[in-house]
Amino acid sequence: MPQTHPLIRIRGLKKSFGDHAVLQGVDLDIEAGQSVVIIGQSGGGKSVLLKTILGLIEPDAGSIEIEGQDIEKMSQAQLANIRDHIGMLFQGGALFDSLPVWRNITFAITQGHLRDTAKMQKLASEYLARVGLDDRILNLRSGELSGGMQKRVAIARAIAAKPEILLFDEPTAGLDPIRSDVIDDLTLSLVRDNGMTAITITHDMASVCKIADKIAFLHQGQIIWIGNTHDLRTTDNPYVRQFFDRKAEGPLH
Amino acid sequence: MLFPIRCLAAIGRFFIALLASIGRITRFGAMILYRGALPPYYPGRFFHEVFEIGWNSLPVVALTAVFTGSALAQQVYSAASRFSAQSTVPAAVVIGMVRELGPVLVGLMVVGRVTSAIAAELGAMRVTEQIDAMETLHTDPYRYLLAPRLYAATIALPVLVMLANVIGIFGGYLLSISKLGFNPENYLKVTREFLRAEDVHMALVKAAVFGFLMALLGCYNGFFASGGAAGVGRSTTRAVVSAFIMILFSNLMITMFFFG
Repeated sequence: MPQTHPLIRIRGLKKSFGDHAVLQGVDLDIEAGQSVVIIGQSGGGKSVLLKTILGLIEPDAGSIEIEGQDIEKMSQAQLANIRDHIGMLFQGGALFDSLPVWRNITFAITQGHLRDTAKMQKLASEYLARVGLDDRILNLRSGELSGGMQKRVAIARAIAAKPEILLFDEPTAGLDPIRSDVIDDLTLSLVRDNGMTAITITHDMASVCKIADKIAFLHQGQIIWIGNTHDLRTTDNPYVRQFFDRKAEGPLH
Repeated sequence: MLFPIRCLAAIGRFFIALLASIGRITRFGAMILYRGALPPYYPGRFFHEVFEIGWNSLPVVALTAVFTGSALAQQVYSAASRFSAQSTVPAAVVIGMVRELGPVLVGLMVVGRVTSAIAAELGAMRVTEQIDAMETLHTDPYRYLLAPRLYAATIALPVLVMLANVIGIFGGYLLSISKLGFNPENYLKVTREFLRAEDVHMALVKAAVFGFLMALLGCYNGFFASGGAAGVGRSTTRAVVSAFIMILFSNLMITMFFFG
């Protein structure tokens, strides 16, 4: 029998900033074509986990394997090659404020070069439509957009390079429920129809229930609970229960 | 621990930290040069930076040069009058401008404009995760953001210094002719006689080194900025102060190398 590897395998991942231990031994497997949602309290290390998967933050201990290759043992060129298959939405959007919207969206395709303007603007319009925006904002800069629009342009940028793995850091934060639902539908479509693998961080429980195949609860630097949406609704884990029910009283504070 | 021992330990710690910083900056500079030499290249970014650093610095550089050249002529004239050597004004202006004042003053003025702008822009990009985002979008920030700035400053500064030298000499000439009673033809003749090729070579070497250092320190401090808006402010200050010091220090080293 051939041995099957998960697409991403994380084992014993630890990361501290000074005296503050953020990740304290994270273990997580992510299968190809899955939509995995990581939940947990603010400041609990979820964004650090995503950046560590991407190789932007070097872990103190532990391993991350992507398609069976340990990213810690990769050269810069190999890491860059792996990153070509990953699209990332940063928490604050991280749009390039010196470039217009259409150049932000097509940045990965052109590798920052200014070329094929008409073709790239048309492509950017198509991606804007996918996140519920129209092409009137093509030539605006990020400072001229609302926070929610910036977030959606950043999502369009993340998916424009057609990555195999999507890392979304709070994709629906700052969006109204209707726009949030558009983004949830887009995430589902990318996973179900395009075969992408999505890892999403969110505090939006409606999103969690809609898009998650698998949910991981990160608490005090460790994954303390893993389940699906049915498990989430019925779990008696006091931490997950309190988080899902949005109650101030309980073990989390 | 005894007070003198504590003092020695503090001095030791300071020098170890200084050497570590020099090592990190040297490695960072080597990395920019190495990665910048490999494709993909960004000629558009390079010419944009040449325009920003060179062309846009021209007004401030021209004003600095013309005022400095004129003031130098007046200073030399009043000092030389004490021992009836007023005829040395053209020679003192041309040598003073080309060897020292042109490169150093242009360097310091451009640090104020360019190093601060580089550090602040890159610092803001770092704390808003734009540099992290760039790495995830198939683009190397060393090639896209850093190398064009480093190459552009190293090439633009010699051109700016040469222009500043010409303008500064012209400023001294104008003041000498209009106020100090010099004969125009005689002034230009003495200026040409005293200007040597080695003076120009030294000015070009100084300018290239200053351009490289000011861009490197702006890039280093901005690229590794942290701590939000306050952190960007601290990085920018650190970049400007360290660039000032490095320009004055390297000026001394190059002068000693050429004439020591």
